[in-house]
Amino acid sequence: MFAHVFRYRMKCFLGDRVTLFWTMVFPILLSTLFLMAFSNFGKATSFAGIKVAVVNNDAYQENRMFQETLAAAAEKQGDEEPLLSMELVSLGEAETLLDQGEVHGIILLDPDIKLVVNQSGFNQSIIKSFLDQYQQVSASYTSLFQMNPGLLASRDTLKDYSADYDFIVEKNPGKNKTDITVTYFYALLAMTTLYGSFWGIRAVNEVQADQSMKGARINLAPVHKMKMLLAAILAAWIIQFVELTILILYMSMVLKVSFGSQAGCILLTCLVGSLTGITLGTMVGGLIKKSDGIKTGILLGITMTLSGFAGLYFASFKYVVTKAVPVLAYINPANLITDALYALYYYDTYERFTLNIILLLAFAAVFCLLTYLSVRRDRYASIPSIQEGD
Amino acid sequence: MVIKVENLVKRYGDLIAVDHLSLEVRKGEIFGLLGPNGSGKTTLINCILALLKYDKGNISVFGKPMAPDAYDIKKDIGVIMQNVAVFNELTVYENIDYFCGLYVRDKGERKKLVEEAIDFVGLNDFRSFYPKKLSGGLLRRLNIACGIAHKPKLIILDEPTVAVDPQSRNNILEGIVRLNRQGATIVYTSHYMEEVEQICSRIMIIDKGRIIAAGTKEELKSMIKVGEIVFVESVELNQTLLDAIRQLPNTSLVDYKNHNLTVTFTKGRNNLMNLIDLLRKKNLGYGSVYSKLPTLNDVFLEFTGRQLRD
Repeated sequence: MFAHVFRYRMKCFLGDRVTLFWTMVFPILLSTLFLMAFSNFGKATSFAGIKVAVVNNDAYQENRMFQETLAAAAEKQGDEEPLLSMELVSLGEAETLLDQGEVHGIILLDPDIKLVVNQSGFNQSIIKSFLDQYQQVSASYTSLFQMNPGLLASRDTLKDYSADYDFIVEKNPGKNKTDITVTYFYALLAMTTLYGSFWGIRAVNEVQADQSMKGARINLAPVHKMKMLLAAILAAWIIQFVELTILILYMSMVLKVSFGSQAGCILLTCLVGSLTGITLGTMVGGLIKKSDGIKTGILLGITMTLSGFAGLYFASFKYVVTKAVPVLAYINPANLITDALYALYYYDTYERFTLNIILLLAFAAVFCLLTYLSVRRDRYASIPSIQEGD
Repeated sequence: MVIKVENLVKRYGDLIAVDHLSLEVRKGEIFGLLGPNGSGKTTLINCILALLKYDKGNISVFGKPMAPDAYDIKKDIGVIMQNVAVFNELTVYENIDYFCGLYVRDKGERKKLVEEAIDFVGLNDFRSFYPKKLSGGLLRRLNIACGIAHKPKLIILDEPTVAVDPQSRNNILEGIVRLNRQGATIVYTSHYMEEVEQICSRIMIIDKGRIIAAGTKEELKSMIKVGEIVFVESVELNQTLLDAIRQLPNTSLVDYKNHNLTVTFTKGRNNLMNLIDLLRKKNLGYGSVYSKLPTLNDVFLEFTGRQLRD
């Protein structure tokens, strides 16, 4: 009997094109759009040399050290773009270039180093920092040579003085390089997982006499409706899991989104997340005695809100929420799913991943219990679905 | 006794949908439940089927108390609701097989039953069709096949012909009679008195959750005063003539509108002859003349003061 119901539930769900679209085709389309949107994410912020006009006057020609420093700053170092893009011009030409917005500033030796700008901004600040640093270092050298003329012979010592040292070492806590864009893809996966709730609504509606005519017919059959519901949930779970697997394969193989190398754990996240999503749907379907459209609307609202908190619309929002209201991060199934994928991607240990999976299972258990309590009733107070012609 | 309902009361808030109603359905009969929309027919059926909670009363089916988990009773009941309840993602064959499979576990037996049901409702040419491709009448037939494929001993049909074309309606009614001949007890609810009159061996008329009358159609008609209704078309009458008609024996009601005369007689002999003699004596010309015996609508009208379809 269970196998009979399961087989036909599977067939019905696979023929439900609308739900299949929202739970599989739509996320695939959305992930493709994400990729297109994020393809220029790194390039948009790449650094280009800051354009400056250097006034070619007598003071400049006499200051060989400054000339060499500027030349070094305007030279490309390996893959890195040069700091400055410099034009050697007369004072008049420099002023014209600045007025026309062709350069961000004018460097003028008169004989002290001067910076002429017509607005303040990020690039102007960098030029000023560069010039300040030059003046500071050159003043240090001058002072050192005056105190110890012998230093001139030792180039290594001079190198030590001119070098920049970082006393803070940047270290990646995980095994992969930080990539903000994966947050969006993980949040999209979490959203898709929770879209499994649409299957859940259908599963529960079709065993409730007060929700659908089919539910009424099924309640008249000599089969326990919990058995019918379990068969439907199992069918929905398998379909949702396969859909998520297809989505992950598409993201990783076509869109080249990185998920790390632990395929088993990723699939476990999908499996548990799917169950949580489907039982969320059965719970909402069981508790809310409204039309199918209203229930779907409510679930859509819940899903999109939870996914938003998990970083679907603005990746940093996930961290803001986690920092400001830590509890919210733990009671949001979408966040638990993204966090589980995150933990697999960044960390070598499994503590955080395991915690997320346990919390997701706990949610599924609570949703199942509430579904059972709302669906278990034997008789109905009224049956609007079959009361019309009374 | 197949169904026994005793003193059933069902309330929706302040509204009493079923009001201290009792009924018995005997084995092998076609029991008609007749009443206008909102009379409580479907509520009564849903209470009998243990779908609805009720406030008071006892219900037994096949001699046992009916309950949601009375699976041994449910396996012998087939229900056809007024709204079609099939899956759009399954074909005609698959839909019947699915619902039949909830009652019959053996695959071989089920296959035979499904084939018989398809044959019974005449859907052989549409077995691989999806419901969306079926016309309203064919869809109703599929709905019926889903409800009867497991060969139930008791079949409850709740307004199965609503919004069905006349040809499909006749097919459905003929099918119900055939099922009854094959041994099934039928409970048929409708607000179409012609259908109930045509197929039911016993009829219960209900209104506002109460029994108005019950019995065979002959018994029901004998309960009312109306014996015959005579219609005379295209006749010119004045007040004096109308008064003369009212003086005829057994005359109960005289209605004259747009040159058409309707005279309702109580039971008695020669009512039509008496009226025609009067018209002839007064040298009045007239068009068609015909009479009809009282219908269940007249029964309903006399007991409630309303038409059945009001």
